[in-house]
Formats: sequence, C-alpha cells, structure tokens
Amino acid sequence: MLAALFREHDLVVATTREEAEREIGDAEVLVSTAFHPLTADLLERAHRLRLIQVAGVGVDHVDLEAARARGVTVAAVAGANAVSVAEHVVMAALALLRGLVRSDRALHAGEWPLADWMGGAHDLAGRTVGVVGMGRIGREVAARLLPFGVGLLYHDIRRLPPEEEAALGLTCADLDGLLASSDLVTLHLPLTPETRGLLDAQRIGRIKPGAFLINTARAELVDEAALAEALRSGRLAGAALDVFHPEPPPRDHPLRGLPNVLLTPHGAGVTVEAQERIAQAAVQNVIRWLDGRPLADVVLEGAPR
Amino acid sequence: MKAREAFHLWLERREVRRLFGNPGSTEVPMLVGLPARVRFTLGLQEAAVVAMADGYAQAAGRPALVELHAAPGLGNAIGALFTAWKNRTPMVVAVGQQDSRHLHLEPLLAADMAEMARGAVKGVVEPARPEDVAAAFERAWRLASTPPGGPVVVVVPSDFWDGPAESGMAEAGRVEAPGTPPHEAVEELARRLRGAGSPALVVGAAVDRAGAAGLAVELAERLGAAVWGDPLGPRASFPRDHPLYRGELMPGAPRIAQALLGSDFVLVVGAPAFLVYPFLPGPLVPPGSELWLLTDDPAEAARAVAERVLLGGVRASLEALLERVGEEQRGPEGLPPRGGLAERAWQRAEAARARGRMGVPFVLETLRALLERPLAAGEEGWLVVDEAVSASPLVRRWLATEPGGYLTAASGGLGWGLAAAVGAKLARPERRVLAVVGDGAFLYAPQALWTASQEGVALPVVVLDNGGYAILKSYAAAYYPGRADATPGLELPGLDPVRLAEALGGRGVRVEAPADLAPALAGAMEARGPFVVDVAVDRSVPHLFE
Ligand SMILES: Cc1ncc(C[n+]2csc(CCOP(=O)(O)OP(=O)(O)O)c2C)c(N)n1
Repeated sequence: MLAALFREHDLVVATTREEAEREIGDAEVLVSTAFHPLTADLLERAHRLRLIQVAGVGVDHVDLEAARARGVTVAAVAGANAVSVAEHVVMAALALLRGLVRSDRALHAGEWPLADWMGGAHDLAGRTVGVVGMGRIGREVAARLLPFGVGLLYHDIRRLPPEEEAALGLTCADLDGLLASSDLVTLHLPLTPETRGLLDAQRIGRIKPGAFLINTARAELVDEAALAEALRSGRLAGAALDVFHPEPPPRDHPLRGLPNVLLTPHGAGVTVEAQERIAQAAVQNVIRWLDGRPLADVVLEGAPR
Repeated sequence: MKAREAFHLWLERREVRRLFGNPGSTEVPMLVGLPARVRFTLGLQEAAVVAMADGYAQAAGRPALVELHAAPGLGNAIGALFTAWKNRTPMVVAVGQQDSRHLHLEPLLAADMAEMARGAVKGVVEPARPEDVAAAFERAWRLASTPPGGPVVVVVPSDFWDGPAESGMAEAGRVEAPGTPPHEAVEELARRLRGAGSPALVVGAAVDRAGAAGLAVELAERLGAAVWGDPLGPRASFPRDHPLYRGELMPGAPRIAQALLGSDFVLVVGAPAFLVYPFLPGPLVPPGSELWLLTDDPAEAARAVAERVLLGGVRASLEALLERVGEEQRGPEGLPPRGGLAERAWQRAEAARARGRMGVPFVLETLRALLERPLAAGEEGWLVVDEAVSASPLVRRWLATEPGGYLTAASGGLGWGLAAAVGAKLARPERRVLAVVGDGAFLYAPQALWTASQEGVALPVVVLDNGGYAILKSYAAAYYPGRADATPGLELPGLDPVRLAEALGGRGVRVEAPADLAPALAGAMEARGPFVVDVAVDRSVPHLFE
C-alpha cells in the first residue's frame, strides 16, 4: 500500500542494523524511528541520502552533526503525540492522587487495602498543577486538566499573550515559585543544554513537600538519584515516570521498586492512535519531498534540492 | 448670635466640608445661609443619604454630618443608620423636629424621634434650648467618634435655629481615644501567645479602621500564628496573599470551632467574638483551646465568648503587645514563600471555567485584570464596595486583597453598597473606587446614582444580574430541600438597571456575551460619572448554606 503511494520509487524496509547498513547506500529518503540510532558511521555509508524523515517527535537518535556534514535534511513529526501524552498525564495525576498502583498491587497480593485507600486517596479538584514548558503538549495537558477544578501554574521561557493565558486559565510563574506552590508538577520541555538537569537536587528540594512529579519528557531533565532520594524519604509523595536514563533502565535503577512510583516504558506518546498519526504525518512529509513541496517540521535544513 | 450662627461656627471649628441630606420644612431654618465651605450633598431618599455619608466617613476616616427630615425622613433612614451603627461609622445626624411651641398638639411630621431612632443608633442628643444647639452637635460628634464609632442623632426643633445662642459653648474639644489595657494584662497575653503551641489570630474590622493591619502582620509573623478573617467581616484587615492567612471564618458556630481546632490559643482582635448567622448549634470555641479578645468596644467585650477581654485602643494595644511579645520570629517558615500564587492560579483557572456561562469568577477575574496595574508613587490601590450578596464570598476572594481596600455592610442590610461607594469616592476622588452589587441590592437605594451624576462622581458600578434573590433561593434550598420553589418573592423579572441608571443621570450598558465584558468594564472605568455595567451572570443557585 505504501509502495503504491511512492510510485516510481523503491520501498525497502530494514528492521535490523545489518539490513540498514546494507540498504542505506542506495537510499535517497530514510524514514527512521528512535529504536534504531542513526549514528555517524551509519550515515557515512549513505552516499545518496537527502532526507531523514523521523517517524516520531524527537530526533535524539539522529547524529545531527553527521547529517549536517552530508547536507541531509532532517524532519520530524511534531504534535502528533501531544494528545496522547496529555491524556497520559491526566491518568498519571489521578492515579498518583488516589494511590492507585499501591492499592492495585495490594489487592492482587490478596489484601483488602480499603483503610490505606481511605487514608490516602485524594481528589484532583482544588489542587494546583504546575506545568513546566507550555508548548504544544503543555497546552494540551492544561486544557485537559482545567475542567478538573484545578489551579494551573506554568513556567516557560516565553510567556503566552495575556488573552491566551486568560482563556486557558493559566498563571505564569518563575520556576521556583511554581515548584513551591504546586501539588503536582509535570514536565513538558525539550532536552537542551539549558534544560539538562533542570530539576537538580537543589530544585527538587524546593518542590512543595508532599507534592507529586510527572515526567513524560526526558529523564535527563531530572537528577534521578536526587529524585529517588526525595521519593524514598517521603519529601515527595510520589512520581509517575515514563522516561529513564538509560532506557531501558537497568534492574537496579534507583527509581525501580519504589512503592510510590508509577512507571511506564516511554510510551506516553505512542498509543496505537498516536502511532497511526505519526506514521501518516511521516508519509505525508515524504510525499511532499518527492513532489518537491516544502516540508513540515524540519529540524535540520539540508543542501538545496 | 443665633443658634444657627453658633452652629456655623461649630462647623468651621470641626472643619466640616460636606453635609449629606434631604431637606424638609423643619430643616429649612437649619440650612438657610449654610456657609459655602460646607457643600450640601443632596440625596433623593434618606437611605441613600445615610449610606453615602457612611461610605464618606469610612473612606475619609472622620465623622460625617447628615441632615434628615423629621419622622418620615428618619423612618426612611433607619435601616441605613442601623448599618452605620454596625459598621461603627462615626456620624452626626441632625433630624428636624416640629416647632417646639406647638409640639404638644402633635403637629404634622412630629413624633418621638429619639424613641424611633434609639434601637438603631449609638445615641440621641436632644438640646432642650436654642442655647444648647451647637453644644449638642459637639456632644454628638464626640460621642460618635469615640470608639466604638457610630451614628448619633441630634433632634432639633425648627424654632430653635432662630433662637439665641451663647458663645463658647461648642468648642471643638478633643477626646483622646482609649489607649493600652493594663500592663499586666498585656504582659500576660504576650506570655500566653508565646507559650502557645499553635496560636491563631482572628483579625477584624477595627484593625483596618485603625490602620493597624501592618501591626497585625508583624504580630502574626513573630508568632508564626495562623490568621483568620472574622466571619462576615465588613473590612479587609489582613493581606489576603500573606502565607499565614488562612481565609475568613464561616459565620456558623461549629464551622468556627472547626476552623480553630488545633489552635490552643486564639486571640480575636477588633471583631465581635463572634458574628454568626444563620443559627447552627454547637460551640464557638473548640475544646482545648483558650480564646481572648482585644477590642475597643465595651459591648463587644460584654458578649464575647472569651475567657479574657482586653479593652483598649486597637492600635495602641497591638503596639504594646508587640513590644511584650518581643522580636523573635517564628513564622512564616515552612509555608510556601508565595502563598498567593496557588490561590491566583486557582482563581484564574476558575475564571476560565466560568467564562462560558458568565459565572461570577469570570466577571471578577476580568475586573481584577483591569484593576491590576502598577501604582504610581503614593497611589493607593483600588477600593471595592461590596453588596454582591450571594457573590460576596467571591468578591472578597478576588478583590479584597489588601487592607484598606474593601468595604461591605456589617449589618446584612441591603441598599447600602452603591450609595456608600458614591460617598467613598466623594471623600477620596483620587482613589479608584468601584461598587459590585447584586441586582436585588442595586434597587434598594439607586437614587445615589443621581447624586453621583450631579457631583461628577466617576464610579463604575458592576451589577451581578442573576434575575432574582439568589441567596434566598440558596437558603430555601438548604433549609427546605425540595420546597425551594414553594417560596414566593424570589424572582426579579422586568428590571432594567441600565435604563434606571440613565434616568438618574448616569450611563450604563448591559453585557450578555463574555467577549463584551472586558471592553464594557474598561469603558465604565474611564467614564466621568456613574456607569452601570449590568452583567447577565449565571443564574444557577449557589450552595452557600450546605
Ligand atoms: C433592606 C433589606 N431587605 C431585605 C433583605 C433580605 N435579603 C437578603 S439577601 C436578599 C437578596 C439579594 O439579592 P441580590 O442583591 O440580587 O443578590 P443575590 O442574592 O442574587 O446574589 C434579600 C432580599 C435585606 N437583607 N435587607
């Protein structure tokens, strides 16, 4: 079916590194996912390559310097997972506040944890949620949380226009103010040199005692050891983590095995529906390329065609 | 010299610059030849006259002078006088009596005005002779302005004004307000506060009236005390954004006790202990905690549920207490450094949620966004006069953020807010004053709009128009579940506040679409005279008594 879309072009699917190494030499366009890193030595062999279309939001797995050196254009798919991540955050917020995971585990283990539940299950209504990073995903998160009766703080390097803040019910705050005033902090910002380690031990110490943290963005935004310590000591009431360093996390990763932590395998943005949206958007971009039209979501502008 | 001239001299000595009134034949002898330095401010109904004077006195921080016409005028004013008394507003109220030479015949307009007034005012002074008229006003002034402040009525027969006066009778003497309570009592109080595991302060209107909110903040911070606003407090006496501020107490006995549970020592400052309504059974003070009261009001002292009362000037007493409590700070560590941030986030989110149905939070947030601007040097923040009734808790939450910035009636009587806002703006023309009133409340004394337009008073008036008496619907629903609809008299169809405003010389606009609200409010704030923004708000009945 895809082949039909790409008339006059050959479509080759490579699922292993070996296949990739074999085929990349002929490829003009490469559709890539995060499961297979596009390293410099692999790109070395891509003599005819002009476009890397990432079927995903992040391009961390692409050696952009190598791509730049070869004049290859790199494009991604922006926003296709925003709804899925936002829903994930809502799920995580409710699950954390209810102590869902703990209770589920106890019940499976043969207990009847009603007393524990009644002592620790909370409503989301009336809480303050701090959204760090108010891009596409941050906005989707805020829009979905608003009807729950929460207050919404956000922090971003760029402030939204006042009308937009008012319509979304958002209040802008500096990071420390947000951390100190939020019952639940959720991260939605890209990993950049500036944001790496944003929540270091010191900042984690400024989070309101008893608050929750949700990270569906990048593990490197947070000092994982300090986070684990804060969760172990009860300084933070709990966390929902979708991202780890490294991925997959080793068995003895400090964030594994804590009773107040809800873990998912970097899947917040890849629901079945999101995968379909991502695939469609990636294919659309490739068709644009083949038709000589401008591309959406270009990350790296290559040599002119 | 005639009594009238002696009165004029007294006006000058007391530096009276405004006389609020509505005249009749019995007062013409008082008003004829009124010195130009005293501006007569005409109100078209006596409830509006007194409420304007009340707002004026509160905003100016000094007594107001009022004139009312005989028994009917006094009668119209009684509700507003009752409110002024509950507000502790100093006010001298001249009421014309019939000519003394035929009083025995009970002529037209005559009545025992002292008796009529007594239940609603602080005091009544009745000069027995023309020679005593000016002195009677001085006496009333001193009585009105000695804590607790209140309205004092002076009943003057019309013939007295042309009678003889004795000079030297009406000096503008000074009464020094009561100072600090006995040292040992203050000492003991300081010890108790320092010794308490978790002390709480309940801060009331007398603190704001005395301009002593800063002292209350200082005290709270040194003690690390939880701070509450008094139930239904008519003023803002503590900065709402302060991390130690916990909100205002609910006016029900068990609710108060519940809020104070866990505080082993409670000090109420400048408020009744406690104002309650409606009736709920139960204790006011939680078991295991001790409550003291600091007040300038002997009647408050007498009926307080306090183990000990310190009677004294609020300001002086707080100063003395701070000295005894010492410098050491116990708060507000451990609390979020910016207590207001989460609250503001909630307010703004709530406003966004309420937008579609034109809920009150959306209206108040839109107002606040317009009011919130950097102040010029020396400029004071806005003053909101609140008679929003069912929406009052929200008005306090959104707009009563700073001490000195909020007024409402302490009595529960309606027909006060709009007129009081006009009076406040007359006293403080440079300050941004606005009124937020219910559509029901708006109609008890709307004549104040005429005075405002005549006096060029720039006043935005926001009418939260829900088409009925929402708070009474709420009450009926809570007390007689399922039978709320069986209560008559709670709907207000067929009203047009905008046309009423226009008929009284003001302007106005009705707002039905959320997008039109901000421009309408901004326009009202720019207007030269009174400007009514009649906002068609959400009509669903709030749950206020459950
Ligand atoms: C002089 C006076 N009359 C009657 C009442 C009884 N009363 C209390 S609240 C209320 C209704 C107020 O309606 P509105 O101002 O429209 O505010 P809403 O309850 O709708 O918010 C009434 C009539 C009163 N408090 N004072």
